[in-house]
Parts: sequence; C-alpha cells; structure tokens
Amino acid sequence: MFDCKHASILVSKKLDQPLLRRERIQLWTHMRICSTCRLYRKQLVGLQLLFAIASESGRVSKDDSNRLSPAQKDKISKQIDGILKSESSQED
Amino acid sequence: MQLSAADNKGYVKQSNLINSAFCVGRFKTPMTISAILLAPSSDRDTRTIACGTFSMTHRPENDSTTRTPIDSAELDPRSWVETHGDALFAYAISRLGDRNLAEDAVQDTYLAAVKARLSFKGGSQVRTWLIGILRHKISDIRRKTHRETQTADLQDSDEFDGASSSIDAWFDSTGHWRKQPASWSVDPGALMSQEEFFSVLRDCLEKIPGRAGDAFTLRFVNNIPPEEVCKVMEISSTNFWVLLHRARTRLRSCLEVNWFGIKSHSEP
Repeated sequence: MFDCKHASILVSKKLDQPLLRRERIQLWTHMRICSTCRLYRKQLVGLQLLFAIASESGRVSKDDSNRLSPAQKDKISKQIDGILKSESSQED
Repeated sequence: MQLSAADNKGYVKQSNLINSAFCVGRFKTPMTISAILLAPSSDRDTRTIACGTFSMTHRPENDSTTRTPIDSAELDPRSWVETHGDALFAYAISRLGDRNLAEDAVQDTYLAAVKARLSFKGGSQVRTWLIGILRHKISDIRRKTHRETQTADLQDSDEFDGASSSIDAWFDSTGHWRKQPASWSVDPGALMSQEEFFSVLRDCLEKIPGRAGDAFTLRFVNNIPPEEVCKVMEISSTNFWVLLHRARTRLRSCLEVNWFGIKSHSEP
C-alpha cells in the first residue's frame, strides 16, 4: 500500500540518493494525485536549496565567525606541544 | 590501485556531491574516492574537478609524486589545529550552540587525539577520525550540561530506537497525513536577506535531537560528503538517509511553527 507516509519518505530519500526504478514510479504516481505531498516536496526541496546556499555563505553557523579563534588555536597548539614534549622526554 | 587525477598539484580536488556520485558510478571505487574527498578544506572549496580526467593507474606505495590520502605531514599532530580546527569548531558550535562549550569540545578532542594518535591506523582520514572523537566529546558535554534532556523530549529521542517516532506524529495508522503540512513555501532568495530567519533556523537545527541532528549537521552545515558522514557515524547509507529524513521532518515542522507562524496545537 503506497500512502502519504511512504511518499514523504521517498521525497526525502530522493534528496540524498537516487531512487530505485520501482520507487520512482510509485512516487511519480502518488504525486500526480496528492497535492499535499506535492506541497511537502516543494517545502523540502526549498529547504535543501536554502541550506546549500546558506552553508556555502557560512550563514547557518552561529556568529559570523564560525571559526576557532586564533587565541584558542594557539592555546591548543601549545597544549599539543606540551604533550609531545613530555612524551619525547619520557623516551629519553 | 590508486585513483589519481591529472591536476597541477598532483591530487584530486573534489567537493561536489553530484560529481562524487557520478564518479562512484563510473569507476565503482567508492572507498578510494571517498578517501580522496577529504583533501584539505581550502582545496575542497575550490570546486575544481572534471571527473573525466581521472585515470586509473597502478602506483607503488611510496611514490612521492602522488599525494596519498594520508601523508606524513597529515599525521603530525602539530598541523591538525590549523588544518582541521575550523571544521571541527563549526560542527561543535552547530551542535552545542555555545561558543565556550564548543571550544572546550574541540580542545578536548585534540588532546585526546594526540594521546591516542598511535591507535590511528590511517584507515580513515584524519578529519573523519577527529570528528569521530569530537562527537564523543560533544555527547559528554551534553550529558554534563543536561542539554539533551532540555531539548529533546523522551518520546522523540531517537538515540535508542530505529523507528521513526517523530515522523509517525505526522501520519495516522493508514499512512495519511494526520495534520496536513501548512501552506508555505521557501523562497531562499528572500530568506537569505533576513537575519532573524537564520537565528530561527539555527535554533531549529540545534533542536533536532540525537543522531538525526548530527547527521544533518555534518552533511549540510559542514558539507561533509555522505560517505564520510557514514564513516564518522558508523552507519549504513540507508540508516543515513533515514536519519536525514527524520531531521528534515523536525526542521520543517519547527520552521513552520517558529518562522512561518503557523500555529499547530500550541502557541509557538
């Protein structure tokens, strides 16, 4: 039984990977008769597109700078150095 | 056998999902291609690729003219902060929503990785491996701060079930829409200029619980290719798109209530 729930799953799946031939036919047939699922598909495709554009321009992440601050990088690098040095001194 | 591309730097630049699917289909070597996908991020951003220029060649293991997916420089922990720091941070902040917590998570990740680096066998890319560690650190932090219990109600938590509980809320037992999706449409062009929209979007994204949120964030916020996300999360591709489906369902209804202003059962 091919219903709206199944259709919504295939709508989403199609955004991530190619559908099987059987699934393509099922979805196509359902979409012809179901305006609700067509709307749902339109919304998901819109969101997908939005994400593609937004993440490209770095808008999805919090703050304008979604980067590790230089100070933090420096701090971590020093800690890594510390570990490596203490390891090599143990080997000596 | 290695896959090499004739480009002037001697290694493959690739970031495009469509291209990757095309290449995988063409050469039937998904593992090799996904291994190449994690070239340094700066290179991945350049989007230069023509799949047709790939050639299949046999090369000796230590051929210095070929940039193998793992080279010795990449195994030097000192280079990791510069090479992968921003990517790790971007993931951490989008999952934790807090700069300080994200910094802690990234720092913990590096320290754990340096100590455990001898156990890294090069079976996966350095970044994939680091993100794997980061995911554990993020769970630890969430447990400590109890964020998980605040943001995900138990009924919808997907950590323990493979079923689509939150999706079921939308459909009745006959598979028909229980509550119809409200009529709104996404106009990316118009939304891009609205700063408030992105703050709602980030909130909604952060509220997608558990592994569905992780998978969606890795894929669409961090732009990590699907094969790599599967590796990091240790899931199958089927499992992966089911998680994405669940995440989209959540995201869609969250935006419907909080941005498009359509009240479902309760006030937004």
